Amino acid sequence: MAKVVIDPVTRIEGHLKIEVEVENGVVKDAWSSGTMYRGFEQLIQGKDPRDAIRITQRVCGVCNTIHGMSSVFAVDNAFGVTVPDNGRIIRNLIFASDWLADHPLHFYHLAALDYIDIMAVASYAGNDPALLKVKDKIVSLVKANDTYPLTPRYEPDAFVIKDPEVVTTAVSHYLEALEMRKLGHEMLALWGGRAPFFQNVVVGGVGIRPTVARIAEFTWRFEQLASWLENTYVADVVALGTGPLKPIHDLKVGLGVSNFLGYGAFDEKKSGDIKNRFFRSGVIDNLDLKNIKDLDPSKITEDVKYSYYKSASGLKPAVGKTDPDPKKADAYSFIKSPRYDGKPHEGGPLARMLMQQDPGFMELAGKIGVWPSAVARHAARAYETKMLIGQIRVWLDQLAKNINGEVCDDKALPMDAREGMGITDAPRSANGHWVSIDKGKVTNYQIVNASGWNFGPRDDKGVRGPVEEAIVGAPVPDPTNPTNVVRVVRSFDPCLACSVHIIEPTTNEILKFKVT
Amino acid sequence: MGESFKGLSRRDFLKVCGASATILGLSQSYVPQIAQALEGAAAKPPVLWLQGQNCTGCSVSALNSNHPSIAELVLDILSFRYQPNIMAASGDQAIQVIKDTIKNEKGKYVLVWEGAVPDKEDGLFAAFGEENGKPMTADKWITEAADSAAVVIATGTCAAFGGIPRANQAVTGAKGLLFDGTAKGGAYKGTTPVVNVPGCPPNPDWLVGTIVYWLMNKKAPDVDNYGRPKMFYGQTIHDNCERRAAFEAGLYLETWGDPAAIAPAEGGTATQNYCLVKKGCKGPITFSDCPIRRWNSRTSWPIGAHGICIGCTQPEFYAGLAPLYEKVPEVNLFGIQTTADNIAKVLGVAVAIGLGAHLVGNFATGRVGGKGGDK
Amino acid sequence: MMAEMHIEHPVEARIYHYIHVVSMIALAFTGFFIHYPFFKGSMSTMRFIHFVAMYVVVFNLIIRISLAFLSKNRDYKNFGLGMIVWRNLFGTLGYYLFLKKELPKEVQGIYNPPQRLTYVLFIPLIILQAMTGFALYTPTAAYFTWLTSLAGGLEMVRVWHFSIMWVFILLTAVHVYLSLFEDFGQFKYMVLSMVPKDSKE
Repeated sequence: MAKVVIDPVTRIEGHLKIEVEVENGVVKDAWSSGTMYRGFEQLIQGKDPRDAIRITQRVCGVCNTIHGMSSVFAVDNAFGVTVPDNGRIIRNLIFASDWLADHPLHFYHLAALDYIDIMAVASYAGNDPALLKVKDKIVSLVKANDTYPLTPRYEPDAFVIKDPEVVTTAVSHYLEALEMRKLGHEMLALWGGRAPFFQNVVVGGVGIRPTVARIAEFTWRFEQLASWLENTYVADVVALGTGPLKPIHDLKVGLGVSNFLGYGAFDEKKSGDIKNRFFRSGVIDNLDLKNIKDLDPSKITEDVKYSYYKSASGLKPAVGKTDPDPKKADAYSFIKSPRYDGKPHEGGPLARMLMQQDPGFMELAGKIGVWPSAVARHAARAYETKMLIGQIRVWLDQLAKNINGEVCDDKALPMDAREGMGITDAPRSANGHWVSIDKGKVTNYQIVNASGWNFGPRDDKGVRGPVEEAIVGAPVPDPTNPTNVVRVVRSFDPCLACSVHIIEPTTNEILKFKVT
Repeated sequence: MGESFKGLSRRDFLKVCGASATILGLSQSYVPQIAQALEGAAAKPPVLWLQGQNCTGCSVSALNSNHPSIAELVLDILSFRYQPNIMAASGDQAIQVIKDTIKNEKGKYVLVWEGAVPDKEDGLFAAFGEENGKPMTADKWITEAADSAAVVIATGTCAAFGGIPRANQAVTGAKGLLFDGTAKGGAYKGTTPVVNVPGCPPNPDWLVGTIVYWLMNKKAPDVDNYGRPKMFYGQTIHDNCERRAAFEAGLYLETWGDPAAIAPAEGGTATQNYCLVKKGCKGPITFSDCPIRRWNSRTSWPIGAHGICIGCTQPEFYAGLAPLYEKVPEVNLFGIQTTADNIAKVLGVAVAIGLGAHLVGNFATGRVGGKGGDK
Repeated sequence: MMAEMHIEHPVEARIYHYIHVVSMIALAFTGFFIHYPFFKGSMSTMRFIHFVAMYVVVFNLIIRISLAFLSKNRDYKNFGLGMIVWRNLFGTLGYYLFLKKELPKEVQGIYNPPQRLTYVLFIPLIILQAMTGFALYTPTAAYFTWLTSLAGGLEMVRVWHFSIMWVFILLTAVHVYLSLFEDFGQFKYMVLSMVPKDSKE
């Protein structure tokens, strides 16, 4: 039996280490551990609750809008405000812009290098001028003997795409995507002030008022990005997923726990109302797609037996505690283990699309076979991008028709004791903030972060988290090249600074597979 | 180098140089000088980009660089040996790259450090990579990687001053590289020059501009008391703010989204966009060129989008500027977290009561209104 | 006992006092406005008044100090902090706090120990207030950035500037109270310019 440690796992957000045990070329067991802790829940105690909306965004530079939105929903809830329609729609536009920037970033820049042999570009024999330019670039890097950061890498395995035409096209899209995702951030900045870290979403709504000029400035960027996403990104994912990458899907690499959970995202009626969202909230158990249950947030708990916390295990987030102990015996991660109804659940695009069961997606899923896998997660991510693009047009229309509407219900800081919950789906999973305030100060703050759902360690009963479970069974013929492991890990789009509760194991011998 | 510079056509190369001049605010007549500096290097300058207690916001912000673009930076101008968010390698392969660069490129590489460095609990609050089965902590990495670097760029307020993690310093011991908030004495004790490029996140121009400046001049740019390049952090937001006229005229926004405090071009009915200081805007004490440079291809910036400046380039950020939506910060007075206003209220009331009681005493003892009254 | 003292507030001292009172009130009022604009008014006007009043206070103080040492009516000795002050400080404070029935017997000149300490303390406080004010006024100017660093950033300079103003206000409250109720004759002389009959003026 070989132990493989991948530390750091790169091309993700945050510090992650993955350890696996490989037997006969297949992963037998896996441990996922976050290796960094800052303590947002601790540092926000005693502070002004309005600060949380700015500060908790900094939990993660990639998921910042998600934390900002969760936080503002929680504080809205505590203050008891009614967000006007325009405030709600502008928040949706800010949030959606980030999704449009985030999904292609994840596919091209974080995940794609696991699926293509980038050096195949050198053998490109076609005569497309754009692709020849890409070829020249790579060839000149090779000639200068400096191919960082494209190398070193794991040796390309049997599943890697080596067709020069396909690879060169993918690399040219990789470069295009770098430019295109900037448009998403510009769209975000138009409504939010800047990206990353929007600045003007406040308790009660937003500070900015819609104008025709701003809608126009947003629209030309949006339509340019939308057309690229539909014709390039979505097309690439579908072509690769149903073609060269189908063998990986057929091998069921990355099955996971088969339980799914979604908080829903993008409020359609009332801000923070999980019953009326564009992406539905709900719970699916054992891949039973016919029986989607309503989400009951009171069933959410967090286990910490294997996490570096000395606070009690199994607490509900509203009364949760975060008290780190990086030298706790048996613990191996700073990530807590969120559980719904005591069971691990996967969150993210696949969960959302299975909840949504949009005919287009079900058709796509039918083509490749309906089971969760690394490839299926990429497909779901691409499909929801398409859905979101359509809905942004609807929101812009609503905004234009009510251009003089109010944007904010600005209420003073309450001095009595209040509680608030703010939950929303994030591009990569489901994210929630719980806040308690008294005398105008935060008395308790708990974050059940998006990647915690997927990357959490074992729970108190010893049941593996979704990513740990998904890695088990992955074929690793060569322990020095655990490509399939990182493929599975990255398909969940890890974003781990989020998982503010994360610590590195020091002595625990079990933990050896590191992913950064 | 004539025809081709590290894989670029001469034309593309000059385009990169022109973009670099733009970012530094230099006239295009500097292009030949930049070209000479970049061509002078025998190979692309190696870069290690390491992360401590970070959130990757600085890296994401750097992806938004326009002139030069991130693709030009990564593939054409610099040799990114280690950047955890974009590099192909994982695990031991990746760690080996850092070790090789430290050994083989001693004194030649640029170290970009993102995130704070914690020192409590043996530094275990931030670690990446293992050595002999033990985690390599950020405080070990910083010494090893910075000592052999040509220059260290502390990107972001966490790396420069401790930033948000420093607000939880009691638990993790988070500090900046050279600074612990406004005080000297950070996590890095060595002698390699460190340039601070704070901001939460830093504007990509500040980071890329500082790197390009160093490549051109082989020395750090002129910096202020907190190690920040004056070319980007030389003036307060307040002094260049587009709402300064409203501040001077005494026009202040009191309610978010109030049309009576927003200019017609922005969907309101007022003569201009009102100043946000009453909402706690930290523009008057924050140094950066945000009002002029703006963000995301100059699309907008926080105050331009009707949000406050939260002072994110400042060494006091975040704990020293909290609460963000109040005009004055809280101070720690003998262990009590309070505002100067509250201290004044308590003292004022105490003095009023004291004088009142004294007056009563004066009458009671007959000092006033009695025999001893006329002094 | 007071009657034995030779009390003199020559006209230049009274003029200094008038100017000082008016400017300090203007500084506090405009200062509160700059701190938090509590009514609709022009910030630039308020700032202008604040800066002018600051210059008036500073130059007025310089003139007063010159007068104290150089003029015909030089009175610097009245503010001296020699042993006589320390010998009688607690006795005087004890009297004010009803711990003692009588003021100390020793003849102390026209100002008693707490008065002397307060008036002398005003000088460094005014200088510090002017310096913190300048640091806030021109945050980029090199001559005061050291102060900003020392205080721990501009926000802390603001807190200092604001706190020192409160020290002025509170000391002034005590000063006014004592002059009204402990020594109304002095108040009449200094503030109302009712020159006593036995004055040399």
